[in-house]
Amino acid sequence: MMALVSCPPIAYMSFDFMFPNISTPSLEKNLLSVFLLSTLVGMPVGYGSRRTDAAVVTVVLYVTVGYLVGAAAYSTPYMLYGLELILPGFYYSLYFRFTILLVFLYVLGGFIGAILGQVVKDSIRREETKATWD
Amino acid sequence: MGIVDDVKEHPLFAIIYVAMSLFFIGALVVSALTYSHVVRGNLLITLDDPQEDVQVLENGSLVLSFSIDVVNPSRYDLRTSSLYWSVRISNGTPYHPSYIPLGVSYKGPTEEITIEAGDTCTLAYSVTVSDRALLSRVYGFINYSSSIGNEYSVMTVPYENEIRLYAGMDDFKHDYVREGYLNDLVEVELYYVDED
Repeated sequence: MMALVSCPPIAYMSFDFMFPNISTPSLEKNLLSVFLLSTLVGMPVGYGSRRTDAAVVTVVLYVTVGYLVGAAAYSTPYMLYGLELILPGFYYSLYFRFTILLVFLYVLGGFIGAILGQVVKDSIRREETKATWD
Repeated sequence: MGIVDDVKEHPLFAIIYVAMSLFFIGALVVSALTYSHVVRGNLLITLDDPQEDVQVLENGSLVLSFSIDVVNPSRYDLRTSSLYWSVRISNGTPYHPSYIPLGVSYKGPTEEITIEAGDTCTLAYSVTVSDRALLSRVYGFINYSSSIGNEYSVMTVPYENEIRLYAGMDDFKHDYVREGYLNDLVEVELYYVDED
């Protein structure tokens, strides 16, 4: 479930990276913004997962789902209006060519965010335990 | 049910998390719809209903008029960056083209025309050919055509009108240097040539 809630930012960032001039709001192909947002998206996953390996798998899962949803958004004119796609292989290879680098940023940012989320969760638990025993 | 317990413990965090997700879903839907409308709009914008007119004045000058409609059924205003019209007579062959230029008009980015969304704009041009040398070339073409079996009058000469329009859709950015596909996405290029 966490993968489903975390995948929209990934889908949006992939689509926005492809068309920054028509996306609202736009990150304007700024890789640092993409990385920071990926880290932010990964934090709730780390916070909500009890085990680190579960958090890692969830990160990979939401990046995969989000990237595919972004590819579906990229196909919207042809799905919505029934327009003919002349060279579908070229059309999608263009999407993958431009956005494949982002997948690494999503995963790396997600891992770092998941670790940060777990660190935050552990420190909150420690404070709560301390408060209980004081 | 660890996640449910965590949500109950920190409801504000859960609300912010879901709100962020909903925000990006909304942004993705809006952006994808914008992309669809831009692509579809680009296909629907056309030049339509070309009209030509030729008049001969009392002093022998020719007045050549041309009008054409720019049909914009898309959701976005078109702002022209370049508008070029020319009228000429083709007196060569496909392998050796040759023209008698009669008139030309050019409007650059500083003379932008806005064609509003859902609207049709009629572009009208007119040129008066009064130069004697040029008129003699036109009559020379008529005489030569007659000698090879094509009977023309000044009114029925196959004047070739050409119009070329470049416009940008709405205020979408289209001055990318490396990503040319982004410029092509929101730019419209229309071309019409009347080859009788």
